[in-house]
Amino acid sequence: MRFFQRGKKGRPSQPAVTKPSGTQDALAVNMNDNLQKIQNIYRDCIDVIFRSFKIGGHTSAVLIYINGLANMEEMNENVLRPLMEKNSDSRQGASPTEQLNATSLLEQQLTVAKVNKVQTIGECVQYIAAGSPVLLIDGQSEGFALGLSEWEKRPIEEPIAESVIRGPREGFIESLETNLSLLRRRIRSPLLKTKSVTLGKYIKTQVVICYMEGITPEAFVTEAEKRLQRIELDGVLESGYIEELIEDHPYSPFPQVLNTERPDVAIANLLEGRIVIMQDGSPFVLVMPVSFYSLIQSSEDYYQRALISALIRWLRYLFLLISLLLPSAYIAILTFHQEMIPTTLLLTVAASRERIPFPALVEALIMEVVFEALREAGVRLPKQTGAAVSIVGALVIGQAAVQAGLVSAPMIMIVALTGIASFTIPRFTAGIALRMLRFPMMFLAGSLGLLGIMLGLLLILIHMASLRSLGVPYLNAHVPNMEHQAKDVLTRTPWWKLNARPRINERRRNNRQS
Amino acid sequence: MAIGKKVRRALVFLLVSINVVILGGCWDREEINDIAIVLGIGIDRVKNGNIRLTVEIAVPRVIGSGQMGGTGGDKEETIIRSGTGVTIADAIAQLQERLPRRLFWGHMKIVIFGEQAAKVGIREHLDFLIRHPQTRTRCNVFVGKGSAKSMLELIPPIEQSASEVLREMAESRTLMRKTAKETLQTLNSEAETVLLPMVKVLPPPKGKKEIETIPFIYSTAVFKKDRMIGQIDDYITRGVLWIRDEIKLAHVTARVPGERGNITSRMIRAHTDITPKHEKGRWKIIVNVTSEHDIILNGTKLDLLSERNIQRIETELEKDIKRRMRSALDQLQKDMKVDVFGFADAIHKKYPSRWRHLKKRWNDVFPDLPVELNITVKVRRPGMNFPPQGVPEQEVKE
Repeated sequence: MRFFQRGKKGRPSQPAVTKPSGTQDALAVNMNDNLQKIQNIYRDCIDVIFRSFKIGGHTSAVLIYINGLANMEEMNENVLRPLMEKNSDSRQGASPTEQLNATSLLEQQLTVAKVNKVQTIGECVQYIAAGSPVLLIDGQSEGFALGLSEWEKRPIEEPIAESVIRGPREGFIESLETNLSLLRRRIRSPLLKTKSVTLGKYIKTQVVICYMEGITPEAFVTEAEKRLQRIELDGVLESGYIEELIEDHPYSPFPQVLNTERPDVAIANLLEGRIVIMQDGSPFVLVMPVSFYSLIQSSEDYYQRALISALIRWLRYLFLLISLLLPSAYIAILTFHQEMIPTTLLLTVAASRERIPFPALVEALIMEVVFEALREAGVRLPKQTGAAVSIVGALVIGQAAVQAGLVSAPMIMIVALTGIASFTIPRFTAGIALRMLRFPMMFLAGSLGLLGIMLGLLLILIHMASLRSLGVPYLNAHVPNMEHQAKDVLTRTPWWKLNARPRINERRRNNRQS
Repeated sequence: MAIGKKVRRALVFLLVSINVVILGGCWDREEINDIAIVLGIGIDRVKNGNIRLTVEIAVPRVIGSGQMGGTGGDKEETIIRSGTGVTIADAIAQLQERLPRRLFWGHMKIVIFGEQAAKVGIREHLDFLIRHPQTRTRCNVFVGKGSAKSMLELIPPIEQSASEVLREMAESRTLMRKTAKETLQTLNSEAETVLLPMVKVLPPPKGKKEIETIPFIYSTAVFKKDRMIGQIDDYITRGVLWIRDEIKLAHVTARVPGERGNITSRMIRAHTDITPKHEKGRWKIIVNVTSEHDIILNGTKLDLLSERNIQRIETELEKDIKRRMRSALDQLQKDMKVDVFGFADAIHKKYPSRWRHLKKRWNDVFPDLPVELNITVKVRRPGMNFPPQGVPEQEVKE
């Protein structure tokens, strides 16, 4: 498929990890054999509990579970109590072992909603690891995995990274099940499909691809699945791992995958025909394919009134350019094109630069690097210390540097404005891409002036036009040009005019309202 | 292939980027603290035909320190340096020897020609200024009464520099204003004449030092070809501006016959059309002026709400404007015989083929060319009050 030409290349296979022996073995009829094997697998694991008991007082059985991952109360009430009670049926029967039928047990005595039958040792281990207690009964060649897993998790909170003034306050959490339920609760259509893939050699993280059947092109789903299945990592701790591994262009500064903590954003993207990749253990879900524009839009753009949102979008575009270009434009004008600014302004700037020992480029580099360091320090430090960092940054580095004559006052303003501008971009990943590109732009401006800035802009534009996200052009709406889509990028089209879904596939009719 | 594809691509990229930096080069990179910002220049003719170039250079340290609460005060905000040479370029070379910083012409706002230099010719100096990549074609050109250097040396009490004073004065458009580009364009035209604003030093008030004053535009220098041949006063200049459709700011004062007191109006907008006519072998110029006015002063007892009164006033205003234009024509057409009005170009535009013949004897034809002046004045608004103020109601004339 040419469309997906630039997909990730396959990796050379690594030497196989030594697996615990006998995981592929089917469960034996003799329970003790099975138990021994599993105990061997889980040797030196004090948190794995083997609870032996007798069903109806005669058949021995064992319940295997991990402490803290299973709901004890329900195990007591719905598993152990009914099974251990000596009921009338077994007393009347001739031979208890023969009579104990797995199906009847399941149908009559286990009061648990979710029960899976397991056939092999490997399956047993998988369920145990996932938190489901496994029940093995002597004389049966299959066990029961009981869906009683339950562990401590964070409550649903407002997402911190993407706050809105108006809009839902729910955010995804670390539990995949909860996250899926957040989607399911809002999309009540059976067309919302969720496909599971397990990743990670050791930690076996569950990853789910969500899409809307009939809206999302099949090709996206198969391609994403293909890319996910190629991942061979020891562990996947954050969806960032996945993002990096399934991106079309891993070396590009621009992110080609959108990550969000907000269910409403995920749903909006599902409804526009994109796929959402969720990973257990991370509140950030991935959205693919995305265009550059969706990375610089906020979900709130669609919640506020269209006019206001359009204005805010323009403001954001302006500040996007400022965050990319302001320092380099300042350097270029000051070192090459002094005639471009009004005389009075030039004289003011000249006066403030009179005692500065560095050329404008060096001065700008120093200050921009310092600003980035301050920002990084502010992010990593605990909140209480963060205030101290801003004081140090503002007073010591800002004011003192100017008074000491190391940095000119206009440069401080430029750096501050650039910083503010980069924070107006709602997605951190997109903002940091532009912040990063600012530095090569500054070098170009320092060596070639405005010509260099133009050159840099062209290079960036060419690069962006060549990017693809899951095979879809990154500047979709403009490259290739699609008018109905471009109007939702340049302004914010009112909902009653936003009839068509974004064209990210080859479908002809694509109406979202009739 | 010994070299991998990726390595080769990286090498190509490296070569291209090195070339970009080397070929594009930082050859014109100049830090802002290594340049001397020229605000204005003066060109004078000194002994044995040499040119003395005077530049006014901004001193950023002093100008900027105002809001920093720093030193300031006694120090001058600009400095004056001169250099001499055969041409203006020679003079710059000598000037540069005496300056630690590179001269930067991007912010040059004014050029003053000394009277002597103007009388010898200004074309070659302007050619240099237009040809130079840094200078602006929009800088204002003046002729200084006396030497240009003496104008730039002044320390104005309000503005930062003498250059700034002159620029502001030219922008206000009370009298003539010509940029370098316009000057050359006008010299290029059929008439080969140009008018440039003339400046002199305003006498300082008592008790002030002699240089603590400003230059101001007081009259207009008349150039034939590129040489100054004479001077016209501000009244005549405004007459020329009316005819040339360049008037921007005008107050017209008139007396209505049979009434005591003056009426002054302010022009809001005016438009002039110059139409040449060729009838029975004779050339004629028709100048149509339409002009709109506000009354800003009423010293008579006329009520301005009355249509009849307004019409009377309009007629008188028309007469006054006509008088101005006529006296401009008298002095420039009859006496000085220079076509500063653009009649030659008007004829050339309308009768291109006939102009070829007329061009040869234009200098003979022009002084006797009949000019018809048609002026229409409309009074649009009488100001904030209709009747004359401070006059008893019964004395107001309807």
